[in-house]
Amino acid sequence: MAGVRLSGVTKIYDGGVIAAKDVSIDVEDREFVVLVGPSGCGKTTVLRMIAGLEEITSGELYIGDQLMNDVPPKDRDIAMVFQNYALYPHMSVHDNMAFGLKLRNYPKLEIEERVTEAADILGIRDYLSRKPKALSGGQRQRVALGRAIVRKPKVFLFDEPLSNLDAKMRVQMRAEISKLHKRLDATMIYVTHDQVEAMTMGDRIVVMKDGVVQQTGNPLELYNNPRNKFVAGFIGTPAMNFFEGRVKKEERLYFEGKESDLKIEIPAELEGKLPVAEGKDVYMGLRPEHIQPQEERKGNLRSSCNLKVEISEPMGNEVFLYFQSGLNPIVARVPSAINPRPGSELKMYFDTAHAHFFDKDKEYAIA
Amino acid sequence: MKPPSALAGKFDSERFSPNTFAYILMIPAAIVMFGVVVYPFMYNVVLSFSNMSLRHFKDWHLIGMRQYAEVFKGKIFYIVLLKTLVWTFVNIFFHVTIGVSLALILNRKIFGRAAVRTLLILPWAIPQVIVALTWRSMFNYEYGSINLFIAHFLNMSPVEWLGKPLEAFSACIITNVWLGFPFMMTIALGGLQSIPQELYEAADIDGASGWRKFWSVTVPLLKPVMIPAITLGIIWTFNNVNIIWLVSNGGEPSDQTHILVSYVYKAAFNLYRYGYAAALSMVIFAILLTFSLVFLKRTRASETAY
Repeated sequence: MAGVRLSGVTKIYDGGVIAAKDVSIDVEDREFVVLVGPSGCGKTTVLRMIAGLEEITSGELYIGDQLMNDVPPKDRDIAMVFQNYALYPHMSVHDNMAFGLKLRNYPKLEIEERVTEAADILGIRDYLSRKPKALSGGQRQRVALGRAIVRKPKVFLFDEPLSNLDAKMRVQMRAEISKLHKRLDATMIYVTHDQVEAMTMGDRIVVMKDGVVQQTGNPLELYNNPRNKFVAGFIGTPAMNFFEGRVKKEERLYFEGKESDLKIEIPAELEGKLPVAEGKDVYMGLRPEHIQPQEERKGNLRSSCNLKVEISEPMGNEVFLYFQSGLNPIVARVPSAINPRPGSELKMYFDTAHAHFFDKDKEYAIA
Repeated sequence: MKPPSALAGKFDSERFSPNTFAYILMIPAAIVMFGVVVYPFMYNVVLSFSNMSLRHFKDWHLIGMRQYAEVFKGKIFYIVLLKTLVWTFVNIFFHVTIGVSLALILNRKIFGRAAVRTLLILPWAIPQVIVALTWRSMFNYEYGSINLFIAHFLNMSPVEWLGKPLEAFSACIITNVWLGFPFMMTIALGGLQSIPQELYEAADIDGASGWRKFWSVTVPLLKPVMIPAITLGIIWTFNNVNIIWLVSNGGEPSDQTHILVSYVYKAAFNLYRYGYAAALSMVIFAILLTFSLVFLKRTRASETAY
């Protein structure tokens, strides 16, 4: 087992496109790290550079203590699970899993042992003689996992392995990969665009955008203390509400929306951190669960607003309510007991003690 | 249930079943197929049991299996059959090896790929007659460019390409190899492009060398497209009368360069032995039919890879 360290890694393609810029990530031994971001953010490029499928333009990549920049993929002691499984279609499940071991001249007996063991772990023993085309998507992905497991590599790399599966299978495989991580006790790097996968699977999450790492941290850290507006909006469903406006002070400190008719009070202790006197525009971010129909938080905050329900989405245990305030869409996550009809008006309380504030121009968090 | 179109609706009365309309639409094609395939084939079957020739052109009658006996009796049939097998095997071997090699090169990002590809497909686009006559001139003993090249650049004595049996047969093969590789190249290129890049990446990570990737990924995945192409290629080459006839000028020297079809052609249209030629062509048909069925079944070519 080994950790993986990227230090200032940059990838510039022939056409001058910068896919990854100065990426530094330190993955510890046995850690499960998820690279997450919208498509085109460079997460897959970073993974492919770790695998050796993509050359590193500048920067350094270490697996364990060894500099790997110019080491071919086969000598990096890694295994990769691809989005489209990449199973050899002409080989049986058994041969797909055994191929890498055969090429490395393992004795026949050990190959059989490892393949059977992996097949047992993944529950695909009955399919060993089948060809991939005779398997369902979920089964194929298990075979792809099996091909990685048998090698007992230092590092497992996953490139959006669940995105071709249906929703139910995805949830099931998500749990299985997490279990596998515990069982194998291996270093795993996992790429996905699905923040739910990232939140539920990762020991640590690396959020990327436009080839740049936005923030690294454990799931709750990212959720509670996003470093910028992008991370705040990307992590969590439904996404955080953002309001453009200014923080002003009269008797109390309050936030006045620019494109909405919001005027809500915010905790006085924030005064020192926010650009109150300068009259600069800021973004206020508030998660859907912090907008509630009854005042949950004590503390004399006069921060309610009458809003008209446009759509309500019942999720069973809770309801998502969509409002519009001026030009500003607002979403709230409320208990399912409250299920107002669309069109009705509701008094909503803004729990501004949980509000995040971001600089208007640079979008980094200021409070 | 009503068929969607108004025209079809007219046939959907009680007199017609829904399938009748489909059969009516098939009639014109069926008539043409009958006229150009079924009738000539059946006529050929009948002729093969007859004594039709220039001498018995109007008064021919059925003589049973005598023409078939005639075919198998002479030593010449076996010699020509052997030559045909050599001709077919050597041609297909070079068609496939040259075609696949070029496809592998063209599948990489090389400079001027589109232009090179177009140039390489050219042999295929030129009418066979022109190709054959051009090559025949190039094989000319005194003035042909091939002998000029051999004499000037390789400092060797010129080869009597068209005057000796082995050389003439080789000349035919060289011409047909040049003519045939673009087809295999085009098919192979299509096949290569359909192999997902990820499989090579997976093989890279599995630890496969370039050579190993070729044999373990490329070849097995090219097989499903190449097997039908090779089957077609074998049938076409086996039956290729044009090149042999035109390059060797009708089997010269002294009928030493024939393959079965050119031999049939000569029997039918130079010697007017229609019954004999028909019987021989039935034998060729049987050989090719058996080969195709066995080959396709053995290689399971109809199975898709993915």
